[in-house]
Amino acid sequence: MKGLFVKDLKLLSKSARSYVILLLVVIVWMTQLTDSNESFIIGYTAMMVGIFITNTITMDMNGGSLPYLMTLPCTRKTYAIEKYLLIITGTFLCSMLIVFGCIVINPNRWLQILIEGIAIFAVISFYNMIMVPLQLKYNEKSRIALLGILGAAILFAVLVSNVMANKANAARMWISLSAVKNTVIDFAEKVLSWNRITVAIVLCWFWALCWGVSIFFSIRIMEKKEF
Amino acid sequence: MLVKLDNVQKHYGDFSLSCSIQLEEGHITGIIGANGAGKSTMFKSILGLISTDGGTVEILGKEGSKLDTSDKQQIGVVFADSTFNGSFSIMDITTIMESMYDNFDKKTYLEKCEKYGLPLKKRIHDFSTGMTAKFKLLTAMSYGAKLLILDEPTVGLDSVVRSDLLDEMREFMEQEGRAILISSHISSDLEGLCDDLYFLKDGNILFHEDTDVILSDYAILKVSEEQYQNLDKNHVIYRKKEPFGYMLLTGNKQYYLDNYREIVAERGSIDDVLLMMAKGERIQ
Repeated sequence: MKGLFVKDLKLLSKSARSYVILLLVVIVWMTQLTDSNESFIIGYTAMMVGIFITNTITMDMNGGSLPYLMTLPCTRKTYAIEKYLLIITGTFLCSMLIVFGCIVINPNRWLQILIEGIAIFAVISFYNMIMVPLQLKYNEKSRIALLGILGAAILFAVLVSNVMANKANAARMWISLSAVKNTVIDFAEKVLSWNRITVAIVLCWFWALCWGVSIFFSIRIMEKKEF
Repeated sequence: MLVKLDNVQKHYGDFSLSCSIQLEEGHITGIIGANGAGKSTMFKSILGLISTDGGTVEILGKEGSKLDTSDKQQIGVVFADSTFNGSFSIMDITTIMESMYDNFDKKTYLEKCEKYGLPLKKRIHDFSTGMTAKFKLLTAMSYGAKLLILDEPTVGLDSVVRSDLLDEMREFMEQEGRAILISSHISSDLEGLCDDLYFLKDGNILFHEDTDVILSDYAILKVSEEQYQNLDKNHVIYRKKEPFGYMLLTGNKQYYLDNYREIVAERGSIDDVLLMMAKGERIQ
């Protein structure tokens, strides 16, 4: 796995121009730092770093090097896991670097900025959780696949609204939605009644579980891949 | 046995691969066949890069798809159309190889790259075809692999570069216990290098023979219609109709030289065998 890390870090170092642009954007925003835009800078950085790292999959595939890489001392599983480790550490370190910068500029709000930074990093992670398996499966078409998923969600919403247009259907569905809503509210109230540490632990578990599901699918995709 | 394919099957639409081969230690085995004959598919199935539809693949005593990282340290691979990302330089690749392989010999690798005039800091994407071929082979031989699997390593090269690469392969084989499986559609490369050859056509092994035997015992017989009618055809493998009569491929040149002094028998080259297999009609 060490070799794959070195290979990806070398690949990432070839896109220096993109990092300069990212750095310039961050610097400009930092000079205009307000309470409301610090979350944007943290989120923007985490998102861009995630995109740069997932792009190494495309670079492996488009350069035709993936079949060759699979003959080097690594397995399909370690290839997938290495991408995740790189994304998690890369996006976390860069987010924390921006968090540190924001704290230096605004030291009075350090705890709020830190919590905000961690929360934004966690939320942006969900994009990477979806993108890595899509990128492994569809390569450059992964963004189309992502649009497809969003399209399917919108279509579902439209279908539901059409069904709701019929009063009888709407009444039936309202009863079921109310049941779901009550369950969610009950659950949320229960969660809010826990102390903050318990909530944080539950959220961390949920976050880790989502990563686990994403990693599982990526390994499956790699193991079934024909080169 | 370093590589063993037993009745391996792979189907892609109209194309089907069906083959059995063996590669022993100390041997250089060649796979020869025209473009699209199935050489790359065979190699990918050996390396576990594609699934198979039947048969068994064994490499270094293991199933191809179950190779672990320590097994892969023993295998050097050259693909005609795949290598490291083109944005890397040899210096970048040296760093990667150092972290990938326990036995990577950095000093010798860089010396050989310099010997063959490969620029160390230039992107491999900007290398010429000859430079890329040299780089790929030198990289595959840089960490003391036991087995080299070389898919068309000399394709598109001039004779000087080809000769350099073939010399490197011979030098690689000087150490005991090693083996090379090499594919090419350039028969002259394999003729002077390989111990034995498999002829692949449309996904099937048509023929397997020691190179020495092909060169010593095989011949092309040129016979008229009348000579053909009176000929003992027990040792004729392929025939091809020609304006003068028939061109025949035999695996027993001496028999015809001793018994049919009037017919023309030309020394069989691998090209002749290939040509007869491609254009001729098998009669046994």
